[in-house]
Amino acid sequence: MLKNLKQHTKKLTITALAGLTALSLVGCNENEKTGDSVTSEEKVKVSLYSTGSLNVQNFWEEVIPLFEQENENIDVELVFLPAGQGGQSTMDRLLAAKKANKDSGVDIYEGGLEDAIRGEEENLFEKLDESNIENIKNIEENNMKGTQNLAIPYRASAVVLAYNSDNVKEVPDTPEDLYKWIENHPGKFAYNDPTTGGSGSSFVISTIYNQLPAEAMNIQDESIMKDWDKGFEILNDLEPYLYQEGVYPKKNQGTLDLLANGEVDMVPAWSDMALEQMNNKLLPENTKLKQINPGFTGGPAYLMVPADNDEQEKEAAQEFVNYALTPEVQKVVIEKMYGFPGIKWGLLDEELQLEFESVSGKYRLFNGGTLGEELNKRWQKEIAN
Amino acid sequence: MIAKKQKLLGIAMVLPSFLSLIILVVWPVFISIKQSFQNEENQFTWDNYKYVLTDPMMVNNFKYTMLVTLISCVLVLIISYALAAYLRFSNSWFSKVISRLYFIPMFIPGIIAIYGFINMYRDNGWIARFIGSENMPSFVYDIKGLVLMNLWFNIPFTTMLLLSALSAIPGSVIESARDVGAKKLTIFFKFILPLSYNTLLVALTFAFMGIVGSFTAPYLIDKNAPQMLGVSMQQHFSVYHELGQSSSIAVILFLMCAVVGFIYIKNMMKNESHS
Amino acid sequence: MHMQLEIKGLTNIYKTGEGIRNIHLQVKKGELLTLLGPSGCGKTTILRSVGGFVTPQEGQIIIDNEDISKYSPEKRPTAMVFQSYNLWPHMDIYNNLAFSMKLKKMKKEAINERVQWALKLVHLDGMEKKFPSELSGGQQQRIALARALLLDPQVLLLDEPFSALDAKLRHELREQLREIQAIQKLTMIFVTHDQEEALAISDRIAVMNKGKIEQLDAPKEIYNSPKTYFVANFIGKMNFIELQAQDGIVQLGNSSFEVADVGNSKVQTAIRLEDIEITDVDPDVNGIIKKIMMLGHYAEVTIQTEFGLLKTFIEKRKLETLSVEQHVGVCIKAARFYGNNELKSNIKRSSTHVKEFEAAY
Repeated sequence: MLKNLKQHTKKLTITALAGLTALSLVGCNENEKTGDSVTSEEKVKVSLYSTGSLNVQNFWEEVIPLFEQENENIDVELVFLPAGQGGQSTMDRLLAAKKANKDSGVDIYEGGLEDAIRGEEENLFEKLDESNIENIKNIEENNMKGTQNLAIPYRASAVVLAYNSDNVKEVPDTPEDLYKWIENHPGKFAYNDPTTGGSGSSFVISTIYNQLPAEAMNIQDESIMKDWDKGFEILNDLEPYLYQEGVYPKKNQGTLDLLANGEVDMVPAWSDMALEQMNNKLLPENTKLKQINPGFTGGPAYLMVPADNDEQEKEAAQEFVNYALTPEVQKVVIEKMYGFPGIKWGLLDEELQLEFESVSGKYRLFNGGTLGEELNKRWQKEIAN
Repeated sequence: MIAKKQKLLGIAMVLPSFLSLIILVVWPVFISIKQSFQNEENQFTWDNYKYVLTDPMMVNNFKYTMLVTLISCVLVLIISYALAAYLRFSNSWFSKVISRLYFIPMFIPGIIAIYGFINMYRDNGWIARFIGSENMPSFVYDIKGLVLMNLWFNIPFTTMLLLSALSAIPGSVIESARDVGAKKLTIFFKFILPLSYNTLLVALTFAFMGIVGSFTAPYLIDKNAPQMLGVSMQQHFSVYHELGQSSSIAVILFLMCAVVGFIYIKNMMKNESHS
Repeated sequence: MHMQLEIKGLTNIYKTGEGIRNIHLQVKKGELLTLLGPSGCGKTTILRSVGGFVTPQEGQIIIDNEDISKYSPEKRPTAMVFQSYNLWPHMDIYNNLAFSMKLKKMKKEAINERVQWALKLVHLDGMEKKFPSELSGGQQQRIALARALLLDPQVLLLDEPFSALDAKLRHELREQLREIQAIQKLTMIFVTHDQEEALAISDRIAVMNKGKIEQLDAPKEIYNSPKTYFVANFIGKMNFIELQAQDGIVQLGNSSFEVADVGNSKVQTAIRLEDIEITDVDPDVNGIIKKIMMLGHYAEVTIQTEFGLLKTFIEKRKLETLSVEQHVGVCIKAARFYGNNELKSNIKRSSTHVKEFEAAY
């Protein structure tokens, strides 16, 4: 009797465990690719992990089929994590896999420069140079600086001013002009909560670092934090003149919505987002964009190739990164994504160069690493209140 | 043997929910509690709680969360109770129409409701266009808007709960009370209210737990500071990457709900003997 | 005679068409009047109109020479005991009983005294601290009765108060109610659909059907001479036979009856079970016993005859001579005839008389 019971329980447990395993397999099947390449000899499957706004997803969905057409033996799978839903988790996953000495399942990773730097100590990413990725030669040399060849800046976007051209006649040229304009037009300017989106964050960073020497943007030492005071003072002084005397909408879209429905006349916005929405008539036709001087910060998006791939996957991944740097794809970056090309403007059509003149001014790069988080914390404490 | 089999079947039937409870609830809760006591080097520390309970910003957030939750709960209960009482005791055609419509908000996805709300109540929204934007008080990016949104989310379910409680009060209880000479107010305070008190407490518990940990509505509607704890927790987690701090906020939210739950259960047990 | 309660021309018709039409009733002081009828006959509407829970479309309700029609329930000198869920579940027995007196702001000692008195009256002393859910159904209804009595009502209204209880308890409570009525000299209106209960408890019964009073009489009269076919059908057990009258004569086996103004129409013949006897001497009709059902000290016997199945009560000791499928003679001692729902007077003629009558032609 007892023995019978024991057997029953055992069977039950096994069944339950089997069920659970099946469930977990469904949950993370992209994990299960070790040795996959052997069974499907004709096709190499690589996974591209990316994050961001909808336009990034649309971009990949456009580019991947083009790539697969040219490389019939490579199958690219897009794993897209919408912004704020765990871009961080991909890095955690890579680190965890590294610790356990396993394949993370991530073959190509799109992320920020801080990820490449974070992965440097652990040798998370492969070194990429002209020997394995030929098209690196197309990239503006300046942009490769600081990447230590671990990450490829294949495109970029910048924050610009988006404004209602019916109501704004004197468009500011410099940050000082802008602050003056804000004070003269109370309630008509808004930047979004910098903890929720890059355009607001760029406005805050630019305002603070405009008060410091140009190279300060590259300092990652916490000692610089005390020099932020002056910039925060400016932000504090601006507050009463902002939308609803200091309301900071959530997300990049939050401020664009205010511009679209006419509650404000001017906002900082990502050039690519704004251009795309102007093109889709989500923003009114009187919307115009302008970069001020010195410009807001912007930044490239980087492609990285994790070092845990096997030979076939590695080659396929490199092939894909190389393809992302062709003028063909870069045209998609400009036309579909309204982004900045990762390769030299000179390599692109002249027509294109003209069309995007207004926003193609120089953007600046903030390279303060985790200081960005500290900046957000201080903003939340001092400005949000 | 048959008894044994039935026992095993019983275990087999509970097992899936039990396991999923362990995997989806107990384990993550355990992890969060553990993380809330760890610093970045995974060493034990009280710092996260010290920060959450003493940092002026966090204290403000905590107070603000309580304020919003209490105001919302009180309004939800008053409005829902009035609505449920009207639906229970009125036979007019209007009450019949309302009784078929009042739960519709429950079927509208939250995010759509929030954007609809914003379009309706923002400073140049539909209402402002109607009454003139100079007469329009600020709802969006304001506590007023958040409270209104909480009403939208909570009134239908609360009303449903209370209506079922009021419907369960037999007509003869009220009639016999009138018979012995009780007037309307007496009937309400001495009969209807005590007889629906337990459900009122259930409704309060649900409303409290729903509102205190809410994220989407305060994130999209409320101003930037002070924040509801749910928003602050998300910020600490995914913006500042402060795992320990966000975990300790989560634990504190959990404790707040636990206190309310405890009061509820205690009251239930007290009343068990009478009814 | 002084009337405690008078109902004049009470009319209240619901949208469904049910309701009451032009009801007149008078209840004497200390009288227990029962409203008896099937559901939907309007008995509860009358009761609730008196209590003030229904506002009738027309009519007057007068208690002790005062028209109370316009008063709300809490102002009327009536008290009501409901069918069930009578007690307030969130109050203990003491508070259930004391509530009305607290509303009147009576002194605490006086309230205590009255509560004790009421509990004693319904034989539930010592129950003050209990909650309704801790009491049995019968105890709850007794407390409900006590609560109503504590209002010192001029008219006590009872809406099927015992219908949710089992038979034994129902009997007990009936007796107790009668007892209390005798002590308190209460004027009561009692609503029920149970004819046995009505017969047992009432001073007078108003049998109702479709919003009208069919017959208002003492229980004995109601039982012995139901004035309409409906009442005959509703009260007690009856055998019914449909017969064709010829020139005012109805032939029932060997007996014939001269029935007033029926002419050549069909009549309903109603015969009480106790008015049918099994006999060998000069039977009215012959039949075969089909069923014998024991009901305690007597049995119900079903006999197949040319008029269909007839039922009769037989005492237990007479049963020994009877068995199923036995051929027996049946004598009908009394019968009532109803034409068009009305009772028609009749004279029984002997069988010889009938024959003579025929011979005369």
